[in-house]
Amino acid sequence: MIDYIDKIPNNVDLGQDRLLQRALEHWQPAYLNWWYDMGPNESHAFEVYLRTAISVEPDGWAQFGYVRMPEYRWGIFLQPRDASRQVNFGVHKGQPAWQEVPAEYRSALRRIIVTQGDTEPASVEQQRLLGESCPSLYDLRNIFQVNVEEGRHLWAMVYLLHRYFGRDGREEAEALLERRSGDDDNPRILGAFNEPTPDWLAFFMFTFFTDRDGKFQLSALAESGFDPLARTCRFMLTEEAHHMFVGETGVSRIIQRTCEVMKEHKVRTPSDVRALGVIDLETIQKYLNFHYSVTLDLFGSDASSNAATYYTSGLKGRFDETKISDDHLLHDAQYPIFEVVNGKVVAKNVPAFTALNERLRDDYIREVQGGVDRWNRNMEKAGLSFRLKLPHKGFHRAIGNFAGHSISLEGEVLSEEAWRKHEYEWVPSPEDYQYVQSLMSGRVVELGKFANWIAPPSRGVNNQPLNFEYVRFN
Amino acid sequence: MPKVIYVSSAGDSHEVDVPVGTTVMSAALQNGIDGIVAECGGVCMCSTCHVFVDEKYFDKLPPAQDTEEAVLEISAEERQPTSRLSCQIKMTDALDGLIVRMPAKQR
Repeated sequence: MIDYIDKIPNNVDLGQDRLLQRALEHWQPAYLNWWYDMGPNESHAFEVYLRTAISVEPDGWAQFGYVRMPEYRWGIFLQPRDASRQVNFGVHKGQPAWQEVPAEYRSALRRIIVTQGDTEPASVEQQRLLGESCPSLYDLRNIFQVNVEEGRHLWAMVYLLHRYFGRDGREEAEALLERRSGDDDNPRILGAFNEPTPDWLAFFMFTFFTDRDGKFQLSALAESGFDPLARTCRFMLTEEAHHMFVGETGVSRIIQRTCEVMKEHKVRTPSDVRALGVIDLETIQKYLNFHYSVTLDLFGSDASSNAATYYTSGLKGRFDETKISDDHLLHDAQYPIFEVVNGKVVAKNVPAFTALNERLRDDYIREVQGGVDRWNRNMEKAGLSFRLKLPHKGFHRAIGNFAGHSISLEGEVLSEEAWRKHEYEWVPSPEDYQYVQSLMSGRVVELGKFANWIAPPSRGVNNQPLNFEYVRFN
Repeated sequence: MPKVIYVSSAGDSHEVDVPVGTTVMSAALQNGIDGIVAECGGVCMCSTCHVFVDEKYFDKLPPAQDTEEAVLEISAEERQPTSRLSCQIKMTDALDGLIVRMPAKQR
């Protein structure tokens, strides 16, 4: 018998919770089976220098040490409860925050939690082969840290399902381990989580763009009137911040290296840049276009009755809801969304409570633009004129008002035929993927060494040097 | 009790009494100072509590650890020589009167 109470760091009084204990006894072995099958490939004996959260206090994050990933202590943490917390928006505004699931919102809340929970194992599945082509031990350690933390996020959602949703919740928790990213018959729920992550540039783009969608979704759920969900999501945001750090600095280091080589060898054209074994800036732009656009789809339809219901019911708020100065009801407010009319992209105002997906997407776009500006500092410093740009938000979309339309990078409405002619100028072609993957044909694992296509980071993890043995292969 | 003066990007000042041992970030949140977000909760994983420390006080601070230096590289407003993360500045009596300027944006 496993001592779950000892094994799982938690602040949910696990030792006193018979229901949860029983549920864990059934779910935890299935989770480990999933990790062995779908977690990082052939990594189970590696000892990885990982951070483990052992409490919600700031120093509870500073626990670093070598861990075999299947033995990682996937803890369950909620932000401490604020007894005075209220529902801060919607028709229940001003009531005490709910500590149990309101019966009338049971189904909607379960759907929200399952949809969020499904993304966590999905990204681990998408990234499971990347350890075989890591550019350094530093990066290998980072992807493993991201993977175990996605696993912990799954635990966080499963805790809510088990604790608050009874038999339905247990069944949903099992299904989270049964769906598979990219599987034809039983795929993950959201599109971007069924796309392959075939190489490290895609991984860094994913953690910059798609994990940031996670941040915005978690932030909106951290405003929920259902207090356990809010407190869980608040804590998850800490880990999400680290994932975005990995993504932003990863892409930045690739750009930095490319700029260094371009400057040193005075080359500009993509073929000349590629001949020197680094990733040309044009290909990086195409990856950006792809990951940005598929991530924009994750926010859902521009006008959405589900989003309106979630808001008016107090289940899912806006980004920084409590910092916004308005009535938090949105009865009379309007918000602009875009649609294609007679071959043009036009704005139209709709009731703001129906446009909450669009508003969250716009908040996200503003933040992403800041990151792209930081990437462009590399080109500025190298004296290169190339700048990365975000495409129009209608570009390459499959969900919402732009779905079914062929929109250029600049927002021009094209015929499908005209769009296809430009497709591989805008998103990576099979040859682009092949080239990028050709650079990543094996692992770079010598202490302190980095692949030629990426600059070393400026600093190591937890004040360790860059030549630290971040992963021990056994 | 030592004081910290928070200066917004628009130039507005707020003086706050901060108990010794409390971080400059934490005191900002407790006192409703706009301009410090602290998205990661104060564990040096994001850069949304970035501040520019007044030069008079900068040398009185213990030097930044590598982790803080790394995270400062992704700050929304480009770091300057006196940039620090306020979650990593613990108040001491020697820092009484500390002036920190907040960037125009944190994310």
